[in-house]
Amino acid sequence: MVPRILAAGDTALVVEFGETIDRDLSRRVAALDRLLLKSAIPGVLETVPTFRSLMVHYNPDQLDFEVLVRRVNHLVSGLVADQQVGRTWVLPVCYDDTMAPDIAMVAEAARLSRAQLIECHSATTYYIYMIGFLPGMAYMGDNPEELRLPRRETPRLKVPMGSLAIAMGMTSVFPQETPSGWHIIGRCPVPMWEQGRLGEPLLRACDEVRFKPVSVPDYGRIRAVLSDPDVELTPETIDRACR
Amino acid sequence: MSGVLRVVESGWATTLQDLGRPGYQRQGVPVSGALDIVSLQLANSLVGNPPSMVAIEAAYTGPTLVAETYSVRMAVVGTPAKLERLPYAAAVISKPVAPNESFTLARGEALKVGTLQGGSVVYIAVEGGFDVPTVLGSAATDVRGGFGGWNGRALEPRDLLPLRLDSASASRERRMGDWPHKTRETFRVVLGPQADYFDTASIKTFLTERFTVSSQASRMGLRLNGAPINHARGYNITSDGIALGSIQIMGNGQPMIMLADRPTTGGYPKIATIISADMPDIGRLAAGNPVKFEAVSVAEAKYIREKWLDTVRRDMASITFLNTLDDVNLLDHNLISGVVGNNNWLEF
Repeated sequence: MVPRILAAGDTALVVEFGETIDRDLSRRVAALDRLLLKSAIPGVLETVPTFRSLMVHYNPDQLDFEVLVRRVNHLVSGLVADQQVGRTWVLPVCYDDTMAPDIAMVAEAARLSRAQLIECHSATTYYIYMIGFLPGMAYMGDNPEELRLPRRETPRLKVPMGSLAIAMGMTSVFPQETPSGWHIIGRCPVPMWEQGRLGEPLLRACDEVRFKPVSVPDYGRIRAVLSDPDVELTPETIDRACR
Repeated sequence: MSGVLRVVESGWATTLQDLGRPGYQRQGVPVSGALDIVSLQLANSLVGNPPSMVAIEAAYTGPTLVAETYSVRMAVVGTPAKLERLPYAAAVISKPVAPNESFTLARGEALKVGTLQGGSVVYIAVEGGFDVPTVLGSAATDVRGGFGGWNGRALEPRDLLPLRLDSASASRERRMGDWPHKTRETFRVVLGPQADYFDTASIKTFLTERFTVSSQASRMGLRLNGAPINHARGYNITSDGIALGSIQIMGNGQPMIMLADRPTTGGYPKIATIISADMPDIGRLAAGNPVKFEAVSVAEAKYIREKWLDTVRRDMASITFLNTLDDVNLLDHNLISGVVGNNNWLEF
């Protein structure tokens, strides 16, 4: 399948591999992203990988659109879907009502008990399709069929940082307080993006994530341990903090 | 201890901005930065700064700022507004200040920027710039993310903005030719990347209708009102990247032009993208302003951009020192050149 190359104005283009959410598409995007970064084409300013396309921002004073299209087409012709495996994270989540304003509603809509909902959500291994919308916000999928609900009709104006949220096929942990129409079913004590400490977001596209239910006291304890700026955040240190 | 600018009135939405923080969109970090990068760079050049330095961007109504320092050189460039210089913040008497040239406030004097006329943004640069930390290579304020600029937020009364210099340099004041931007109504776009989500009739509507900037206009984007544009294949797409100037058609068929504080990704179809040469003028649009779109090819956009960059370079080069009698004498003898504009650092 040959991707479409579409102009997005005179300083960006989109290499579109498809229109759906699909892990194979996502891996092809990641592979092209890596190839483009490696070829360091003068005039390419930055690339933004998303679910199904790669946006390439360029400086038209340095790099002609047609030249860039040819370079991209050349790279695409030798492309194999990225089989590189990302890191695996086990993130603690407190599903307590005080941190999960929508859990009762979601359980009802899914015809599950609260315990079954938690079991269902935390038994799934999620794949990170992309980072976007907010600094460090990971779009993880795919939610189990029962938990695929459309967004709330009225978005909340303020959802706390760390909220574990679901909408349609996606799960995310909000890296900062934000307005949102997603359903909040828990809270994660691990910082997703801390300017000045992490340097880059905790999670990356192609990483895998599982959620581990923790109690309210454990949430507080883990949060305290991990808020120490001297603690490096890795799958191992997070695992240790959870024990 | 360096001096500060004390904020007496903050204006409607006043933030510190530079050319933004490109390079981190893959991490979900918006680019931010000035809505009108030409006025920002001209304002900085007028006070002798590198053009890309952080300055104050004011929207709709400007701030009142008091010099709490020995002296501070400033310049105001952008949408026209009443500019006054007050002997102290609460003074009733004032003297007018000219835009597009530098001036120096003494300790206790205030600059009052009034309501902007016919557009939405204006830039206030100070010689030496503001002493604020950079975040990911930029001092631009990201209000939604709560970082960058002054404490990650818009200015508020009683804020004390730290200055890098505690007094104005001995340089003479500078001025430029007339502010180069005329209000315009027609903006050039390249159709796409999702023009195929609309049928021919909708594209025609988009390219012939006259739209109006709605009151829902912010640094993130401008929502427009006008004839609805119908989606041929629904209005939910799988989220992808959003370029500067991208025009999304929202669920209600109304366009939204995405600006500096746009999120990095979004899920509405993008019918067209404003060309880079027209973005500074788009950045100054205010609620109520009319907007029409005209389609050009990428090659035409490049040609327009080259012409535009030439005019920007000419405007930068038009900056001269204000002449004193002595200078007139020296100029007569061809001993000094009046041209001081430096466009070596221009960035677009």
